Amino acid sequence: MMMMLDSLKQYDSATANNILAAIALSSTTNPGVGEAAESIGAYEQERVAVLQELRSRLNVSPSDDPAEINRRVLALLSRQIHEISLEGKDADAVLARAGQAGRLTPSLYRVEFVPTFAICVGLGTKIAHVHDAILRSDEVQHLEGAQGEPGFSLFLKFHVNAISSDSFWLLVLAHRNGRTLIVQNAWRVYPSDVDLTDAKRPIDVLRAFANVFGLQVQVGIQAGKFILNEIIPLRVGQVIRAYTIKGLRNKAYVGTMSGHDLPEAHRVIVAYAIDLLAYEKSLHHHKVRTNAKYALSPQDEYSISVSRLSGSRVNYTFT
Amino acid sequence: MLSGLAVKLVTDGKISVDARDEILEMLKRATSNDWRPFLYVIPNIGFGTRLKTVPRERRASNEMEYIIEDLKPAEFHILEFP
Repeated sequence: MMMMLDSLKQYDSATANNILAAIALSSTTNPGVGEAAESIGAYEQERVAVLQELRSRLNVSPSDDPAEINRRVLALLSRQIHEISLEGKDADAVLARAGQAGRLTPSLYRVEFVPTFAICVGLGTKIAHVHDAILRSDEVQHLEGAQGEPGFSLFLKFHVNAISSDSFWLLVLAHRNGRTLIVQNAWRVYPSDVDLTDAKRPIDVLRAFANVFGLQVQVGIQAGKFILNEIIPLRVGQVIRAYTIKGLRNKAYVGTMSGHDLPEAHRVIVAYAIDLLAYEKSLHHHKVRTNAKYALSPQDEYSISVSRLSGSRVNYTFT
Repeated sequence: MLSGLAVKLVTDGKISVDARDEILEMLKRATSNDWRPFLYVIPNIGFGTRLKTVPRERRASNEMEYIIEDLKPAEFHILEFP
């Protein structure tokens, strides 16, 4: 329940908020925003009254440390600004919106794992390292989904080893759903195995990694080891093989086939499939112990077909 | 201070009310673990009038301080301490 300061009760919420903001900015040594300190000029009387009231509420004594008084006053100012600004708003919804867009502080995301992440653990990725990569990443990239659709985020964290060829980037891919990060997979990307010369962003690292360890995938008419942002037109009654992984017989894979439906198309966000046998073999070269359990595919291809039935109804077939 | 800045940026039309609310809610829930030191390396090349000098009474110390309000990501590097 918001308790407006007595000294600001004569003002509407927006004006009171502006006054509090001006006081907060003028109460620091270096506001860092150019003219902010001057903006208090119009509210000098209010500043005196508000600070007096805040000090009274805080039971400040003249003998208290001035720096500590200032810290407590600023904390109370921030609380007042928060209460006025978010009055009547759902704080969880505010955070979910920020989370969905990839704007949330990493520590405020809830982290979950898909069941198949157990394979990545069996391939030498520690859950604690994934949390560390998310909370203290060296680089992060949030890719947007369509309106209202989850996007995905990539986190990179470098792990230094005494043997330089065993140093690696841990690359974590997670889907964002509101405040939840759903970790799909995490890979050790060794610069000694994967050429990262042209990798400027985390997505480039994933692309380079997939180009070395990926299986051939086909998305619509486009083929490659890594497909990003592809639109497949989809007419009513038409069945399209949206995703196909090829050369799969006696192999196993973990990957991401991520997309969503548009009114007259299927948009592929990202598609790749990592060859687990090749990846595990490379890990052994780096003396990583593995105990992953995965079954080899008896079939040569795996595909997901999309058909638009009518209106916005879409059907998926897995073969 | 950051709360005040968020409100001011809305008043100045630089961010939306939604963005302000997100900043304020994140600030409210932030813990000390969310803060870490960064060293911004900004080559002083051709900023012209964008480079403002901080008046002495508003400096954190006796050293010279500058403000570039509209610094763009391509204009600086960030060094992080392990």
